[in-house]
Amino acid sequence: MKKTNKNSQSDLELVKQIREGDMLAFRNLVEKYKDVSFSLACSVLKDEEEAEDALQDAFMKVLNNINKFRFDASFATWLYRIVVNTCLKVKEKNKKHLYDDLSEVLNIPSDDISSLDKYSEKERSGYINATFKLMKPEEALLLRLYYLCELSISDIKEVTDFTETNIKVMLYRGRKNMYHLLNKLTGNEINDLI
Amino acid sequence: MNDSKTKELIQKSVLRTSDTFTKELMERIELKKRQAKALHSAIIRECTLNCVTDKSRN
Repeated sequence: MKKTNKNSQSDLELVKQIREGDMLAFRNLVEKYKDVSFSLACSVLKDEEEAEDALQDAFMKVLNNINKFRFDASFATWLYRIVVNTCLKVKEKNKKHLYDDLSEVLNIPSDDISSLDKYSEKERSGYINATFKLMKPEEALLLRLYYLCELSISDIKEVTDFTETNIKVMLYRGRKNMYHLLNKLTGNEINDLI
Repeated sequence: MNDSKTKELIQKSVLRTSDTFTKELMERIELKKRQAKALHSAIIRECTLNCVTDKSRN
């Protein structure tokens, strides 16, 4: 079991400074969390442009509600909850089917891809992100919250409102689907990728 | 693939926002602030005007 993410001293300092109206502190906070938050937003929305817009809205909500943040809570968990909720609202508003059916993924031709002998870091990233794009949003989101943000199951529960059992089941399925999709995308050469 | 390898792969594949993300966000916030200020001034102006009109009527 992972440990609950505690606030780093710098997070609390930044929050205090933002409350005093320091916009440079807010800028630093955005710089610190924007990429991880963007990855979460893409997990839900599957569209980078839409995810970036939603993330801007989420950071504006953070700024407007910074006085509501309780210092005994984890700032990262609070932020990720705002990001996920904002993205879910955008998704609901757009009412799109934002992820491909897994059965469609199974038909992806992998001939061109399997000819690659070695994978560069960039290619590796590309395959992982393509895989995440094809996965169900909730599975991609949970995998990123767990492995990228390193949140504990109870923190993930706070961010997503899923039950702990559901989170564990979806993480298990998500991992399985991720390997399966990676294998497909790489033409059964997943071992070369890792 | 083990758990630590999964973590490594996912962490190395973090997505990046566009280069202008922070700049655009800060500009958006600045614009909102200016709009709020302008609205506030307009309300004060309107209230003052109503007050003066009421007084002159009386």
